[in-house]
Amino acid sequence: MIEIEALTIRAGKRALLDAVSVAIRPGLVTAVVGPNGAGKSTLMKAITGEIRPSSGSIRFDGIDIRHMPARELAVRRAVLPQASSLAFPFTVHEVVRLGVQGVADAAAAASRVVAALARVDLSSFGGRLFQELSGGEQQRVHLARVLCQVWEPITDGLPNYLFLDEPTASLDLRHQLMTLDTARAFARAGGGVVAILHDLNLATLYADRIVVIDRGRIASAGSPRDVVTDAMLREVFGVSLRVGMAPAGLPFVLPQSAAAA
Amino acid sequence: MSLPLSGPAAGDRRERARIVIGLLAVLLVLILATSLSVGPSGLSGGGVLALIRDAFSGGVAGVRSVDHVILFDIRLPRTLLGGLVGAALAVAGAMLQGLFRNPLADPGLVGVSSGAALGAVLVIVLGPALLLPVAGVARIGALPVAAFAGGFATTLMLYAIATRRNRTSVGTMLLAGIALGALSGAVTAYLVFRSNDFQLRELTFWSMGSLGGATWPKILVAAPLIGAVLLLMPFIARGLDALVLGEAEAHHLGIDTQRLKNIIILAVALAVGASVAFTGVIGFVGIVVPHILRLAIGPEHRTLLPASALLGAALLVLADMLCRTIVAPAELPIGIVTAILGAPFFLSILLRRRGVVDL
Repeated sequence: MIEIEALTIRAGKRALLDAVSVAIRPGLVTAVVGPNGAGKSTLMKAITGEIRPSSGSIRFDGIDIRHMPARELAVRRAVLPQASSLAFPFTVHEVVRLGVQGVADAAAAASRVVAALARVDLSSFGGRLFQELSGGEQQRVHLARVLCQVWEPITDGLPNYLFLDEPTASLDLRHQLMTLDTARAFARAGGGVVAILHDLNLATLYADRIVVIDRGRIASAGSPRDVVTDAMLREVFGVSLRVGMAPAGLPFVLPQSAAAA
Repeated sequence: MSLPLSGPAAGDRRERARIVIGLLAVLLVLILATSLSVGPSGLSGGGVLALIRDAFSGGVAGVRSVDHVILFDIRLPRTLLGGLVGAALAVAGAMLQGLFRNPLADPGLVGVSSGAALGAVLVIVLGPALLLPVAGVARIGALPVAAFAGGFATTLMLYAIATRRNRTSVGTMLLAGIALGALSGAVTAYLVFRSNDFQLRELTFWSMGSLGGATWPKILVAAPLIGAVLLLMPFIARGLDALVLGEAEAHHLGIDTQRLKNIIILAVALAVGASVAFTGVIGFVGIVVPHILRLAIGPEHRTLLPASALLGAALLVLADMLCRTIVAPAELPIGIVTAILGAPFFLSILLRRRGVVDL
């Protein structure tokens, strides 16, 4: 479990995150939602060790993140960036292999790269140059790299974590579902998943828990049913939409409902 | 040797890289051997072999022949210095390009070499006054130290200016490099203006670069410095690969990015400083060599760095052979040859990747 306590991040005088406390549980998919500039990415950067907290603490299964060097963190969690360009002509295979550097056995590493490419539906893309792929394909290559980095959801009895920053942003519908299916499978096998999502319907469909961030604070957190409400949409996102209920008992949000409201 | 397009090994260029590195090693040995047997004195292959055989059998007694001096005190140190400096410049170029995430970063272009040259020129012009009490050996040592300091300060400034919020701007980097280069150039020019005739001759040498001043003491100083940088290569290769994705991504992959950047800046300054101190400013090796190799074996640094060292050494020794043979008995400054070969190359990269330098 990742425990975040009274986490505050300041940029100059402004608090990007203000005394945020939340726990990330293994075995669950946690979606982080909120309006632009609310502090979602800042929260993710702090948990993944990219930026240091101004105050408060983050503990990875009991160990304070400040005492974990980059190399130790890399074994326990992998991070999918929003978008990233490459200055040099790496092949898809070479980009994905960046994720398996910890694996000593060359054959195991190679088969992991192949399996990861298959998982993101890019089996025949190994020899292609990364730079020449479309945005969505590049995103999936990075997902394969990230999966290689934390291949096992659990190692030595401790859960590993996947952090996904808007993993579906540039993907077509089929691959949006495929990506989140993969994330959910990782969680069901005992790992932890944190995903920043803008699509509330994908969030309610895939997340076990939704954390709503607004102006640097946690506005609400809980199951999709408890969190995605008319009141939350009005107060946090400033839209008056009516939340519907799908047959499976999941809430859904349609922009079209603005007319009815 | 085409890339396998499908199958499990598709996109894995390590096997091909190993073959290319092997071929480059053979090429380097051939070029080194040729360099030892070519020169205006007429001492050629057969004579060289005989001299080497004598040297190994301990047969050199009493007065050394002219040929012996030419081979062991002129051609050999000159060839070795060319190899060392070529390797150093190519590897420094590859490292700098990895650090800036840009194929256009070259120690000569972004002002690192000018900074190192300024350090060296300071020692030449002001050194005699400051170092007067100590003998010539100290001066040989003072040159690379000053050149290293100049190169180090420039690289550090360049990185600080061009990088904001973990993003290195290419436009800023190139423009800052021009400004820093102009600044060190101006100070250098002022020192040249104030210098006496003897110093002037030594200084002309910096501006165009030459391997002509190679001596054993210089090799003994340059070899450990450049050797240290070459030994570092396998330890920073993975970090440089990860850095290509971006600084945050490198951190997520387990790289201590601050430490890595510090090491790269130090290594580049060391390699460029040691080179500039003894051969002056030789441009374009650092940009041409890694670029050709990325096309041939891909950009993975585990293979790119050693391949760059080999090809850089081979190219510079070859260029030096051209310099001392095409206008023999006179010599062309080697900087002219590398610039004539390198500048069109640089332009061709620009033309193909105009987006990269979008100011």
